[in-house]
Amino acid sequence: VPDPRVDSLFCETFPIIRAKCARMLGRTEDAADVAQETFVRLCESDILDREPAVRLAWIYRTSTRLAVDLLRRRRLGIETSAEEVDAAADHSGADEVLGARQHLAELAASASRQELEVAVLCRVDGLTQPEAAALCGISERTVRRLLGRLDERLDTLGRRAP
Amino acid sequence: VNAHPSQYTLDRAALGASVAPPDAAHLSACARCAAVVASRRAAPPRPAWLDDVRLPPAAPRPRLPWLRWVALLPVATAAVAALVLLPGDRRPVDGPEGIRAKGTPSVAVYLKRADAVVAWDGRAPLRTGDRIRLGVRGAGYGYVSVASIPPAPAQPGVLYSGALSPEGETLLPIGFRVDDRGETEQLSVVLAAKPVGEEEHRTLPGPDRIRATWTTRITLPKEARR
Repeated sequence: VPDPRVDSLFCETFPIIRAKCARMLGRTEDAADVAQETFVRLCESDILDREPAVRLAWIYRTSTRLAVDLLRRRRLGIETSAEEVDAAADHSGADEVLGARQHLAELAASASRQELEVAVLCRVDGLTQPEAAALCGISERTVRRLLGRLDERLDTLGRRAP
Repeated sequence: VNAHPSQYTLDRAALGASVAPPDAAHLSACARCAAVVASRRAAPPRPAWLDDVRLPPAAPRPRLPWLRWVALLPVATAAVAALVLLPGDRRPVDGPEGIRAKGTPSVAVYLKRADAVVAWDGRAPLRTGDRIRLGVRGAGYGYVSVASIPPAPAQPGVLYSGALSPEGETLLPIGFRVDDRGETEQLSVVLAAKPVGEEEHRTLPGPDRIRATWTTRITLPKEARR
């Protein structure tokens, strides 16, 4: 018998999880898998009774880590169009998101997990550096350092826009 | 530079979390962002895999590492339970703290099984789900500490420390639920004139040590798993 509490939680959080995963991974099977895994972990977590902001931060951290792990394992070749990103993100700045996602895919094998997590949050989800620092539990200075290191890698690859 | 709030901010708004006033003003004025927030609140199609997802049966309390029991809120019905008085080892003390002509300290074990309160006879195995509370008669000792004694080399873990009523019995404000793991549980109870340190639980009572404490250990056998 389906658990009505699961359905309630699903309706409340899954649209957010699904959109977040689509931003990171495109509208792919991988994005669907990461979204499902994030939701299942949420159901198993001990934060269900916490306030919405805490649950959202948990969702962002967990889905980002799952996506980064997937990227690092597979080094995905994401092929998506700007229109698809725009539809997935439901937001302006689709070209930036698309570019950031392609960079992440290219750097997945060489960048550290933390660099990729911060890059996802700041470059794909559009978090400010203070927001990303608070969400990851690191300092703003560390966020800047990680993003700087990532940009150096992109420069080395000749990928970053002048 | 994107003039719109971040996706994170939009999701905060969708979940009903607070957003900064400038972002709230933006959301009320920007139809596109408002539409995004609305879309994040729209019920998604229900996938088949959701049938296999379960939430924990109850909001789990963090398990304490020391013992595979769960602390419970006080159980009002425990007051009618029978009790077993457990002997202790009084450790003599020099000085004024040794003046305690108030009888012998004792620990009472209150056992609640299902809806019935039964007397633990000191020997019968406990069942999974049984609930226990302790009543302590300090007989002049002002403080109590209760700890679980795990198998070596693990260290005792304090379950409760607090003051005792100067007269009569103090029903400790914690209880325990017996789980199905292990064959026994052992508790250490230490009474003292001052707050009891964790180290007091690390040694067995013995006549060679002169301290201002009274201590006892309670071994609770568990019913074998079927």
